[in-house]
Amino acid sequence: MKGLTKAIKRTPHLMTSKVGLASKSSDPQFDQLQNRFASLEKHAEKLLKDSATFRDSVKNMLLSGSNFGRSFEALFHPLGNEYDLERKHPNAATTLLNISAYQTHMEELKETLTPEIELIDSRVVGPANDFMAILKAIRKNITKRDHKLVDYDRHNNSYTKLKEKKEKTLKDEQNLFKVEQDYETAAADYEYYNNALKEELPKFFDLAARFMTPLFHSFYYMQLNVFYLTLERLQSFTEGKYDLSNNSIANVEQSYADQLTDAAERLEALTIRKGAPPSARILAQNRQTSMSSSGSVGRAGGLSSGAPSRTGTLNRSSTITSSYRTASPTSAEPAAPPAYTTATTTTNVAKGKRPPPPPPTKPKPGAIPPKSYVVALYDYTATAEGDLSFKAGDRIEVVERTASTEDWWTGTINGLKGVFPG
Amino acid sequence: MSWGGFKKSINRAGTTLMQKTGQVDKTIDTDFQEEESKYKQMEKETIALQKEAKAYLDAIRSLSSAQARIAETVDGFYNDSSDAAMAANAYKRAVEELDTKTAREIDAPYRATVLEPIGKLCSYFPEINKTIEKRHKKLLDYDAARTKHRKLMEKPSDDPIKLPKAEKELEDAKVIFETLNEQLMDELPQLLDLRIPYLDPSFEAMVRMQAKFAEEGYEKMGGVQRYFREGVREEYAEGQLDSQVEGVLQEMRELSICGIGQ
Repeated sequence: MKGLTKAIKRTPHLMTSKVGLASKSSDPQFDQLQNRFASLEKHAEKLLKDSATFRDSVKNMLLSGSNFGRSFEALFHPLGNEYDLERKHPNAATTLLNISAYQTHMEELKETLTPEIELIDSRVVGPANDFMAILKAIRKNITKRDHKLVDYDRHNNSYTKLKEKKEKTLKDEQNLFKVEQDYETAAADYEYYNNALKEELPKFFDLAARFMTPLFHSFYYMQLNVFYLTLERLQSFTEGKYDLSNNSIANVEQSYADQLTDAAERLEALTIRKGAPPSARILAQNRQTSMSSSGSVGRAGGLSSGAPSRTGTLNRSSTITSSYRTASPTSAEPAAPPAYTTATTTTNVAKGKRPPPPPPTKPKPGAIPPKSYVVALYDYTATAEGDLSFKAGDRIEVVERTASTEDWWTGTINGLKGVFPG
Repeated sequence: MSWGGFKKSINRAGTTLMQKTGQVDKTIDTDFQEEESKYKQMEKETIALQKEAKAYLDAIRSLSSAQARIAETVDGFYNDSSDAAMAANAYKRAVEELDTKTAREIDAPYRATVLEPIGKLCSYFPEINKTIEKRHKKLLDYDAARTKHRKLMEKPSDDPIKLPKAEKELEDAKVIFETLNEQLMDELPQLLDLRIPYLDPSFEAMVRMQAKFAEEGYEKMGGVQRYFREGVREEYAEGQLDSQVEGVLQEMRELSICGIGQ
C-alpha cells in the first residue's frame, strides 16, 4: 500500500520530466556501472540456460549412444531361428563378434558419466542460481536508488519553484519549510543509495570475476572429462579391431565405402518393398500363363503344371518356354494378352527395334523386367568373334541394349550370345 | 474407403468371426508367422536405430553449440587481461573451433554413412507391411472361398451354376493368396538376411565418428589447461573449487548493496 502511494506521488513528476517541464539529474559514473551490471545479469542468465542445455545434451548423447548400440546389437543377433550369422556374412564378422562388447562399453560409459553430469547441477547450475539471487538483490537496490532519484528531483523541483516565487502567500511561506525538509531527506536518501552502489558495484564486479574463475575451472574439467572418458572407452573398444591412429573424416568415409557390398542393390531389388500388385493383375498374369502352359505342356515340358501359382512371382523367367515365345513374340511379359501382342508385332516390325510394349496394365512393380526381343531387318553374318549372326526376321533376345540404335547390342539367338549392330 | 473396399472389409470381418466360432476353416501357417515375427522384430529395432542415430547427431550438435555459448558467456565475465581472462579466451577459441569445425565436419559423413542408409531401410517397411496385410486379407478370402466350396460339394445346391462359380472363386482366391504368400516367403528371409551386410559398414563408421569427435574435443580442449594457474587440476580433483565458489558467493552476500533496505 505504501509502495502504491509512493508510485502515485511519483507519477506526475515522471510525466513532466519526460516532456521536459521538470529537470532530471543524472550521474554518468553510476550509469556506466549500471550498464556493466546489466550485462552481467544477461551473462548469468545465459550461463544458467546453456549449462542446462549442455547437461541435457551430454545426457542425450550418452543415452542415444547406448540405445544405438542396443538396437544394433538386437539387429545383429539371430532373430528367431536364425543361426550362424558369422559364417553367412563373413564381411560383417567383426561387427557381429564385437557388437555386444560395444554395447557394454557404451552402457558403462553412460554409467560412469551420468554422476559426472549430475555434478553439473550441484557445481554449476546451483552456484549460478545463487549468483542470480544476489544479482536480483542488487537489482532491487538499483531500482530503489532510481526511485530515490525521482523523489529527489521531485522535491528539488518544488522547493526551487517555491523559493523562486516572487509573491509568496502566507500558505507558501508555511509550505516552504516543509518542502525544504522533504528535499533534504530525499537528497540524503538518494545520496546514500547512490554512493553505496557506486562504491560497492566495482567490488562486486571483482567478486563476480573471482566467482567465475573456479566455476569455469570446474565446468571445464567436467567437459574435458566427457570427451576424455568417451575417447578412452572407444579406444579400449576399438583396440585391435579398427585402426584409429589416422582417424580423419576422409578415412571414415573411405572405410565405409570399402565395406559396402551389393546389399543395397539387393535390397532395392526386393519386390515386396514396392507393395503388392492388384489382385486383378495377379489373376490376369496367372490366366495368361496357365493358358499357354496348358497348350505347351506336351511340346515344351518347360512349364510344369504346378507353375501357375508361381509364375506371378520372381521365377517367371525360368518358366518361359519356346512355345511361349511363339505365342507372344513381342515380349515375354505374360500379362500381355496374345491379341494385343500380335498387333504390336505388325506395327513394330518396320523399325526392327521394339520399344517395350505398353502392357494393358502397368508391369508388375519390381518384377524382373520383361525380356525384350528385336526382329532383325536384314541378314547379318558375324565378321568378328563375339558377333552374332542372324537372318532377316530372326528374333533376338536383347540382353543388354544401349540408348542408341547405332550402337552394338548384346543379345542371344538360338542359344548363342553375342553383340550385334542395333 | 471405397464402396468395394468397405464391402470387402465387412465380409472379412464376418469371416474372422465365423473362423472363431469354427464355421469357417482357418489356415494356420506357422512358417509364415515365424517369418513375420522375425520381420516385425527387425522393423522395430531398425526404426529404433534410426531414432537413436538421429538423436545422437542432434546431441552432438547441441552439446558443441551449448559449449560455444557457455564459453562466450564465461569470456564476458572478464573485462581485464588477467590470467583467468586469458584462459577463458583460450577456452572460447577451442570450443568455437570444435563447434564450427569438427561438429559440422562430422555432420555430412554421419548422414551419409549412418543416418541415410538406416533411413532408407526404414522407408521400405510401410510397403512391406501393406503387402503382409494384403496377404492376410487374401488368406481370409481364400479360407472363406474354400469353406463355401466344400459345403457346396457336401450338399449340392439346386442351382447348377453355383458349384462352378464357387470353384472359380476358390481357384482365384487360391492363386492370389499363393502369389502373395510366395512373394513374401521368398523375400522376407532375404530382407532379413540382408540387414546384416547392409547395416554392417554403418557400425564401424559410427564408432569411428564417435571416436573422432571425442578425440578432437579432448585435444582441442586439453590445450586450454596450460593457461590455468598451477594446482587447479588438483583442486578440482579434491573438490576445492566448489568451496571457493561458495566462498565468493558468501562475500557477495555480505556486500551492503545486497542487503540494504530489506
